[in-house]
Amino acid sequence: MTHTELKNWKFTLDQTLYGEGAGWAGSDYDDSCWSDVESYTCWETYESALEDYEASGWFRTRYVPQKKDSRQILRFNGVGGVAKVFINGNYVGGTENRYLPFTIDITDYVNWESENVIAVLVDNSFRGPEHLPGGPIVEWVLYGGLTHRVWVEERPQLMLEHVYAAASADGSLKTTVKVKNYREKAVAGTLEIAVAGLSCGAAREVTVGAGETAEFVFETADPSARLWSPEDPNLYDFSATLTADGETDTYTCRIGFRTFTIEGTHIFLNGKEIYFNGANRYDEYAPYGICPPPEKIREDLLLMKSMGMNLVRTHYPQDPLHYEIADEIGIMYMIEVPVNWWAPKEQTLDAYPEFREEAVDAMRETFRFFCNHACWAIWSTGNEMNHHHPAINGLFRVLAQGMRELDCRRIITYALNNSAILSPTELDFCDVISINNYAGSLSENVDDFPVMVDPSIDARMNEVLAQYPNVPHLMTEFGICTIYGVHGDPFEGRYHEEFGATYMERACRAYMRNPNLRGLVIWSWADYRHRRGFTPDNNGSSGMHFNATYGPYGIVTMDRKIKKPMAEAITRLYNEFTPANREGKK
Amino acid sequence: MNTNAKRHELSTWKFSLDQSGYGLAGGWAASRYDDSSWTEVNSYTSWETYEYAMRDYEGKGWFRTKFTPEQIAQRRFILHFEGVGGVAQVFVNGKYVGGTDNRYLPFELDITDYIRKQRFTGNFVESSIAVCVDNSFRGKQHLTGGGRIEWVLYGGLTHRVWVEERPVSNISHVRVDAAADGSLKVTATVEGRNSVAPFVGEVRMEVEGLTSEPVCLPVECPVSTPAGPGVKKVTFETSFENAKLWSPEEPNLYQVKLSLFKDDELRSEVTERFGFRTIETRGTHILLNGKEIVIKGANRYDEYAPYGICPPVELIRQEFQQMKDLGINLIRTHYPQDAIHYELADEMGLMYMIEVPLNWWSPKDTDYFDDHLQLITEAVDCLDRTFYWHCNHPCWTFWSVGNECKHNHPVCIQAFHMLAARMRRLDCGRLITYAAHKPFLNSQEMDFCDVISMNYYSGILSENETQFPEQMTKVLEEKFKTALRLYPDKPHMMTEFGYVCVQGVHNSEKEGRYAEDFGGTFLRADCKELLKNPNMRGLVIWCWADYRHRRGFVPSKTNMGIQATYGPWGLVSMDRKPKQPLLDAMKEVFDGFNPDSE
Repeated sequence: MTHTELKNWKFTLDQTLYGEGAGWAGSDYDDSCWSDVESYTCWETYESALEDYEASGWFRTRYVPQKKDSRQILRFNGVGGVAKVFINGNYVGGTENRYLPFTIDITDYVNWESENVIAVLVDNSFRGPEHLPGGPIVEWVLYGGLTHRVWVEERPQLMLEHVYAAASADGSLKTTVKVKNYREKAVAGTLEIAVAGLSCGAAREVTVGAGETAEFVFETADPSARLWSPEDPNLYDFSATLTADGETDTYTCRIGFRTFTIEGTHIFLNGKEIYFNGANRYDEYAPYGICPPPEKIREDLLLMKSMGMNLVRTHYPQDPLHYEIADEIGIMYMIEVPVNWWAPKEQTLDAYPEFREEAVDAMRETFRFFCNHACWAIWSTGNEMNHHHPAINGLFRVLAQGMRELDCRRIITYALNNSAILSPTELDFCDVISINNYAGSLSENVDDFPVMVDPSIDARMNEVLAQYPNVPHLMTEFGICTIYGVHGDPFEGRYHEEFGATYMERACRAYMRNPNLRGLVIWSWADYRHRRGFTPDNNGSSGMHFNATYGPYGIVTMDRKIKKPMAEAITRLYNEFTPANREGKK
Repeated sequence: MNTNAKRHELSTWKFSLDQSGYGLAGGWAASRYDDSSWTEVNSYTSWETYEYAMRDYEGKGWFRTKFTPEQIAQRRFILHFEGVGGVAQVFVNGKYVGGTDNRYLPFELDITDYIRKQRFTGNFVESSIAVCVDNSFRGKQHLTGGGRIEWVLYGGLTHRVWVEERPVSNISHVRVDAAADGSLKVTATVEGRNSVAPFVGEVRMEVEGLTSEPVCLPVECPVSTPAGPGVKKVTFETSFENAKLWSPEEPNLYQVKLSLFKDDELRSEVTERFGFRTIETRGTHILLNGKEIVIKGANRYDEYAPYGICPPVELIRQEFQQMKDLGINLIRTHYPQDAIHYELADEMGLMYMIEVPLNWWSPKDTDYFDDHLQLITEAVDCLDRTFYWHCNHPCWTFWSVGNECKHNHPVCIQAFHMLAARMRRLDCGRLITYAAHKPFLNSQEMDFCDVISMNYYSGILSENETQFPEQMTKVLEEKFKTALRLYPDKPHMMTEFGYVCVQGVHNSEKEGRYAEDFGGTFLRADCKELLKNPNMRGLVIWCWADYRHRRGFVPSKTNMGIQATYGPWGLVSMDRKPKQPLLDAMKEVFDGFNPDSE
């Protein structure tokens, strides 16, 4: 397999959607006057005036195939918007899901002898509540352009389509391999799996019929495998190799042996009780938008670890770079199906077949691309909706069932908003009950603090405990807005750094009184920008937010300046909230 | 105005946020309030630049500082703000002294009676000054009168602040009228503070380089009262044959010194810079110092990334030079700006069109004049204060009563006529105009104008690329036909026209909206059409630099150009990167645009 990264592109704007009609996708179109840009950048960062731009732009590049009689697979690791892809002027496909990688088989459109023009039309407009994430508004910025890496893979005609290597804490490895045969005749070959340093490799002869896809399962084990955990993130190099007709296709990844189990209200990783202390994180990092250099992501995740965190929660799947780093350094991820603030009018899920399909597709594709990451520990069906609503509750059940069918080996949950908890069955699709709660932090009344924080938190915890006394609980969101560099008396005023520490101390201690609590995941790791229009005009009076177009909930700022009082408070609280300390207290 | 009064610049402040409006009740104005935990900031900064998360913040913030006067008796203490980013309430030692609700102009407060003294000795001790600033949008009942505002309402202590120690009797204001015929009229306002008898003294006037000895006039101010000083105006009228005139090409400036004497003892001294110049119209022509000129201009917000509205003065100077190099001789602004701009423009030779900040004011069809009294009162007050603070700047040559308000509405027409009449009554020495954006219906609409100003964006706000350039020609022909029929004998000016594109985004010169290259093609074609109007005496492009829109201005989708929260109409970007195709086009247009007489 060869792999050609497409890094350099020509770019121009097309807000008026003029380009397609004017032949901007064509192979003979002269793009020499367009601007030079690179992929893995957001167009918001090209120039001030493009900040908040939401509309279309074109990208063009050229490549020459190296090997004839190969499959040409164009892979995008994600894209900032809805994308339409053209090869030499022909539309070949695209994506409507900005949060996931996608691949297009462009073999049939390629000129083997000469340069091929790849043109991509990207539109980062908000698509309305009928599409993911489903809310009437989106809080986060919809960064646009070729925001992820793009490459062309040259693969043999007998191709490894998918590999799932499920490695468990007992040293067992279950590998499921899908092989696709593009030839017009059956092909026989050898399929081999190997794990460097371990004796759980295997090989077998395989035959796949013309145009067919076949699945092969290997069940192997090596009890000497060192396990993966945040404290000791042992990884192994895994490979699947398919040899046929003198050609070889190889898939490699790194795997970690690990198992989550739940017993009563306790969660165990590799047999040892674990609490999930962490932070929510958008993949936004000033001034890079959603495309910071990988070493900055690494520094950021290491800084989180240094504050006693072992989990990152995100509202949507992120660039695979994040998961690769997390596997390596030992930090877990809660990935969410990007269903957020969906508020359907109709009472049945059947009224929303397209939305359901988008959500299910996002769920499947998340698994397809990220199933082998040891760091991915928890899977959420969505965030903050009216969970009683039959369409919403129905969707959660479809998603959770789909996750279980995929044998995903992750903990399944859903992040509650403040909707009442009415019965012990409405959330029974969850392994863990996740709670978002902003007690008093959205109130403008300074005198409310701390009077309303304790009773409000206790009431909510008791409400959840009453219906779900026998499952673990997680705080998936809690937080307070503070502005870096603005200081004040810890017990007076709002929005300054010192008050942030005071609030955290008070709120976390209240959450910790919930005996079933198994994790504190703060909203959020870093300040973030709101999508334009989220703070429409004068939002101050609503008391919902800090009256600016930012969400300054972070422990660090958008450009990663540390809010020291908050960082110290969180470090102290997280280091205290551990299974060992709690056990000791009992 | 420079006085010999001692100034204490208040540049270092303690700052905290107060979105919840807690501070006043929480005692944050009090002199003994402990602000040691607050953040240190400087004045002449916008709080939007303090931290990412403060960008677009609209709400309250507090500033506190301390000040100890020297032990000199017989002084008045004037707290001076060159402007402030929002509505301001000022407290001295916990007591409310006053404030401003006009973010665009300087204001002063006499704080003498609020300064702390030691009880027995009467010596001055440290006083605290607290300012609560609120940069929220105030609604359409206040200036600018529109239901929304396009530009960012930068917040905080955005201008310089100082305390001035003035002699109790002093010259508080000077107005200079200097014309191209060498005539000079200087009016000094004298404040006398004698509560027993009238203050009797003498004012001496000298102009550096023109007078050989002071011209003296006696002054007798009425008895002062607890409410204020006795005020008397003294007017010098003279003329100089050898005065060198002020013009953009040759910005000659003079300095007049006024001294207040009592019994030959100097009490107060004031210097003021001015230039001899006359701007007028003759028929369809605009004359500066008797010579026909054409206006080559650019609109400009006082915003400069990453400084908000507070860039270093040196950068403003460099920018003005760059504008001049392009052939620009006028800057138009939607509101009065920090005097720093006018001082530079005086020195460097750039004219200014200042506008009463009535913008997008749109009364309902059924509204009466009285329904808008608050707004109109604010506009009148703003007009008066603009003149009071900025009247001596020779650069200020045009005065606009407003921009793009409801077209042909009786309330607007009446208000604009009233504002124009007030400007004329001030004998302001400026040409009066209004920037209209809709076709004219009759000649009464704009008959108060010396110059007919029009804003028009030829097809650029339409999303249809194929309309260019045929539509442009057709619409402008129609527009100018009416304008010429109704106002055949007045000069016409384009106060706005422009092209929206993004710096660094390129495409061919023939197609591709929002890319730089077609911008040059468009501007050349547009200006060619605009100059077909035989009365056209000015082209003022919208605008010099890209700018940010106030949040909420582009809620979700917009018909205002690019789908972003920026107005990328500039010839340069917000941080002053050039858009070369546009700059080249305008250089060419300006080079070829000259008075008929040349």
